[in-house]
Amino acid sequence: MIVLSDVGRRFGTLWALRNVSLEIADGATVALLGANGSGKSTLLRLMAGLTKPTSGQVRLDGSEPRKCKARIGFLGHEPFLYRYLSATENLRFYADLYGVDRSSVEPLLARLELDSKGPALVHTFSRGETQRLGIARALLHDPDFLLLDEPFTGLDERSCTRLPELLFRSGRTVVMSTHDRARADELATRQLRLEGGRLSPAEAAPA
Amino acid sequence: MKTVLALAAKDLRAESRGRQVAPVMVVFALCLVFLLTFALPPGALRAPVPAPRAGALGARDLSGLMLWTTILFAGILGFGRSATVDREGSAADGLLLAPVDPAAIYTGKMLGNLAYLTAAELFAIPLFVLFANVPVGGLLPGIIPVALVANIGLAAVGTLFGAATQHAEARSLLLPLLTFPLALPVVLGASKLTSTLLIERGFGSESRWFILLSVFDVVFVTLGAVTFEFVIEE
Repeated sequence: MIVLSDVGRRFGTLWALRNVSLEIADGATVALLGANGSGKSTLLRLMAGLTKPTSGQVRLDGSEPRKCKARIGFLGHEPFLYRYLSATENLRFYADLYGVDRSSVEPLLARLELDSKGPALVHTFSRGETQRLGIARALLHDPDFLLLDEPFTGLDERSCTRLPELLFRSGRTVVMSTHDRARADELATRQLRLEGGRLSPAEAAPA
Repeated sequence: MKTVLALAAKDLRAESRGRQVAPVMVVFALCLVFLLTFALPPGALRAPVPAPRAGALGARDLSGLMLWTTILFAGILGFGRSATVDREGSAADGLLLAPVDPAAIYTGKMLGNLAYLTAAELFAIPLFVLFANVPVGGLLPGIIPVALVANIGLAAVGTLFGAATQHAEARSLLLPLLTFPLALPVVLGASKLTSTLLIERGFGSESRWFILLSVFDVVFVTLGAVTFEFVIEE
């Protein structure tokens, strides 16, 4: 379970998030909606432990995010990949960091239809290929908490259709930010809206 | 240890493809060695060692400083570039997310920087020998332990501040500003030992500088490993 208690995050004099309290049950799929700059990315980074809250606390199954890094998969705006390593080398490197068997890299690349791109250096990848490789990196260690910042960005229609079957599994909690209301309706068990750093339940989509 | 080696190997592998760090250091070091040794009188380092005169500095006294100042400047260029590799694509965040001890990240990065420094020296020292007309027998093999202890100290400080300044707007200014003062003991010690090698063909009484450099290495490697977590986090 992900629990945020009265979380706030300030950058300089600007509060990106204020008084955010939230509980996300195990296995839930939550869509974060909101305009640009509403605090979605900051909220996801707080859950991942990449950003510390200015006030309040974040707990994943009762622990600080930094204490359960091996259970968190995170996809940010950037892919967290090394441009001058190949796709396979990037994933093998992260496999070493997470203590994952390197033999899991090739099947994962195949699942994301990147098997033919394994030896290619990342700086030669298209936007969509980079995004898929970033998703592979986030999934590599089979995380219990998957935090995705606009995961469909840059993906073609085929990849968008295939992505959900890769992301969801029993017991995995998925929190994703998106601007795509239709996709949120399709995938999420719960929708939340951020406005000016404050959280509210999203209204139902118009019929 | 496996993580440390994976981190260092990742940096070296990326560098072997991107060539963003070592060539910059090597070219800069070669240019500076050429310029500085140009100031020495021809054959100054092969002439008999003159009797010491109060307050007088000979070419041998200065040559060590020339060499290690060059290596410090080249190192600073390299440390900045090395840290940039992790900033591109926010790969540093990927490291922070992983269940890895920040001390291991620091040590891995430091090993990479150590390799870049050594690469720069493999070019700069022979060129120094050539341009300054240094008697090779005087410099070898003593320069090897000097370079070893000095490189560890420089890489320890450079890796720490390279990472610390990565999110700063004026990082290209901040890195030398922070690194220079702290690297001074290393440059002084290594210069003194190199000059002594050229004058006395051994370290003699100046071997105490090894103790200073070794203590510096231990202090800054430990400090870097302990503080790296706070340095790299947002």
